[in-house]
Amino acid sequence: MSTSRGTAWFIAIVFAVLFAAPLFWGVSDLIEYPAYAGGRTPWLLLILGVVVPVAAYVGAALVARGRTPLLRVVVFAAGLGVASGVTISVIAWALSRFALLG
Amino acid sequence: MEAMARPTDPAPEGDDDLDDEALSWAGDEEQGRARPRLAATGDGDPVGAAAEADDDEDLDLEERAPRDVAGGFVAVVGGILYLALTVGWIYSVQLPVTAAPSQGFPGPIVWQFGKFVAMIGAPLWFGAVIVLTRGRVGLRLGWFALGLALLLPWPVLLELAG
Repeated sequence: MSTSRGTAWFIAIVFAVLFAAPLFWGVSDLIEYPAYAGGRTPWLLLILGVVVPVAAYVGAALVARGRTPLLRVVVFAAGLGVASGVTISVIAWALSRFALLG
Repeated sequence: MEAMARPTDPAPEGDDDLDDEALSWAGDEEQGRARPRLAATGDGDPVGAAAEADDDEDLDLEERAPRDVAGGFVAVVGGILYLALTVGWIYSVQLPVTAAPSQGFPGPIVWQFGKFVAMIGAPLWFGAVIVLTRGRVGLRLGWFALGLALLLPWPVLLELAG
């Protein structure tokens, strides 16, 4: 395995671990919120919270292909920012508009 | 014996012009690109590069100038919007609605990191789009629009909406 290929894998794996946090929050919300909300569960919002972290990682991995290590890190970090931002937004929506966990 | 030319001696006029044409394209100075772009010709042949530059110069300038202006305009408008997104996220992460959902370790630490990443997400997206879409205005516009939709600071928008 060449050095650049090894670096690319290293960056991808490190960010996979970092992307696990917003994915965990998304899955956790999807499991916990329906118990509180019952019939008012915002399913679309909760599903978005799970889909976006995965889509952001896959999208970042595709865009980062063939780039320099620095650009790879920037692209993955931007994707992580999107994943974290969407997760926080989903929770803010759930708390303020659906009065969940209140 | 003939005296050697010193670095301070003025170069013959014709040679200087030829060098300039061979090593740069018209408009490079305005764009801050003073370095030669021989690699773009593929074979790295300076003579071929100069001839190619001469042939395509007029056509290239006509095509590139509006595109560069449009790309620059999109970058400036995008910069303003993404600055607004960043400010929105700086406010958002301070709101009670974005407090850590769980108190047990390592929840709050990971949550704080997530809020920090969300805060710097907009400038990172902007930087990545600028670097990756050089010379492609439509693509730049599309990626800016996608980032704008994904990075909206909902916590502060919901707070403002009441």
